[in-house]
Amino acid sequence: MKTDHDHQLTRCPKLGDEMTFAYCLREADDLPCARIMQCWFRSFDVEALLKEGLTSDEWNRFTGAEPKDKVSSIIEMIEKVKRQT
Amino acid sequence: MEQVKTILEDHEIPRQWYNIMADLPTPMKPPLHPGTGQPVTANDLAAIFPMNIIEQEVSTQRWIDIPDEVLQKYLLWRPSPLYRARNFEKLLGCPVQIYYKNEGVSPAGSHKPNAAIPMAYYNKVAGTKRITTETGAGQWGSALSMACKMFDLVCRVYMVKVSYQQKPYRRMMMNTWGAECIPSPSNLTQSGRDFLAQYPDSPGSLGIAISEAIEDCVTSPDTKYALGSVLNHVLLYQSIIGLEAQKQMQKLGLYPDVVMGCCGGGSNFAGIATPYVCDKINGKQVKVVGAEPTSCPSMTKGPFAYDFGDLARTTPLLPMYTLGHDYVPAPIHAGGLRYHGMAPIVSHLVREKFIEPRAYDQLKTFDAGVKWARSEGFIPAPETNHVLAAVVDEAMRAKEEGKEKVILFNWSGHGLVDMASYDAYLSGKLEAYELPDHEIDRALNAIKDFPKP
Repeated sequence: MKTDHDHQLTRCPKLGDEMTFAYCLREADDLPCARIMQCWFRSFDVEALLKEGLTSDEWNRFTGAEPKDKVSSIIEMIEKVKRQT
Repeated sequence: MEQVKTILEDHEIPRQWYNIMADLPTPMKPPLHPGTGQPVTANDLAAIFPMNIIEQEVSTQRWIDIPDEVLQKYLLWRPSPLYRARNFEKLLGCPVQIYYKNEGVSPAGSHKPNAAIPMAYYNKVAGTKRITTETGAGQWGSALSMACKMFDLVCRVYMVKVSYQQKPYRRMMMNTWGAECIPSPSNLTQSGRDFLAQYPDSPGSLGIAISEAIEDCVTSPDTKYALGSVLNHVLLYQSIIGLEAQKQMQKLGLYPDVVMGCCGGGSNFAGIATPYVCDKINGKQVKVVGAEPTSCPSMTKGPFAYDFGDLARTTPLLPMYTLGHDYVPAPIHAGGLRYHGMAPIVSHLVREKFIEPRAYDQLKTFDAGVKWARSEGFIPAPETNHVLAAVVDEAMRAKEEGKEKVILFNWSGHGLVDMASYDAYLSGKLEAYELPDHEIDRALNAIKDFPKP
């Protein structure tokens, strides 16, 4: 997904670094960062842009992702590794 | 000559950490295992943390002794000086005394070693030979690298690739302290390889870097994992900041009206704040403020009102200059998009109204940081700039209210390896937020019934 805003820069509170909008668009594997709305919605109509650029499946996965606290997500990762090995 | 620094001698360093879990008026809900839905047990975490750290993670003991070996390392820069920011006070011209703990004096330049050193120590005691972790821009990774070297542990840091490329000096610091710094995603783990197969030119993310660090830990002998924020034991170790500050303020015969810190994952904020929250729980009059980032529009465009902190209305109301949560489009409310990056203890204290969160946008924070550098000399880390924006805000409120205030805050680190961030700000590359008037009107209408502070 390419947009006119790809090179615009903001400070990323997750990384502690300046990141482009292009980075935010693909921060979560093939999906946008969960914070993309909070970080960008005041700059331009990010919702319309995402709706236009994402497939309906991507949009649904993006808006429907279940948030997890840190400990739960860490345990999920541990369990996943244990299953693989 | 006017006094600037208040120093504690080495022998005056606090000998115990303070655990706020002992004093919470209402208990926190335990984290749940995602598979079973039951509260997480020590065994669930044993694959990545040593048992002595897990015990502290779940401890409700109020005071926990700091081991002599940790104290000895702390003494390299602790007790950190308490400064009075006389030049910044003059610049602001408000009726405030501003004091700050300078955590930038640590070898790694931030508060992070306060937690990294005990983590390395407890791992060493538990027989760990090697520690893995992830890092974004590298502040945590560099602190842990140093701590591991102090206790003769091998350290591998998975650093988000884009930051690895953009922030070479942090990587060099890690290497200098003897750690391995790997750009993530990497070919060293299955999760990294899988990811690269799908997205070969991926710039990485914190999520992938955590996956790699945990996989490396779980699949390698004598290896544990360390996390630099969010968790209870991290906040415990950071409490030394506030405990020292209390002793230093006592030497001055002062008690702060306002205690402030910047909130990322919550560790440096909790470090300065939890000993004062304890006082507050016990009836002391003190305001405790956490400053966090937001892409908030200019304060002149929004009223100061309570707003919801997330999009699903599950977090407490956050007072901020706001255009209202309702501005974010309706379909988002139904689903996720909530980012749980804050320490549960801090979120709990906000919910219980012991902490007041405030949000500041990036241009305002850099503006405060540059004013600070041009008056006090020290260049703050960009994260530290958030609390500086809050200090400016509080000083202006004191002026408006005609009240004299004593402000204490945590100056969490220097920005000497973050100059590219300042360059982005000074050259106007960071986004300014300007909304069209019709959007402002719509958003203001959405929060017209919100309570006002």
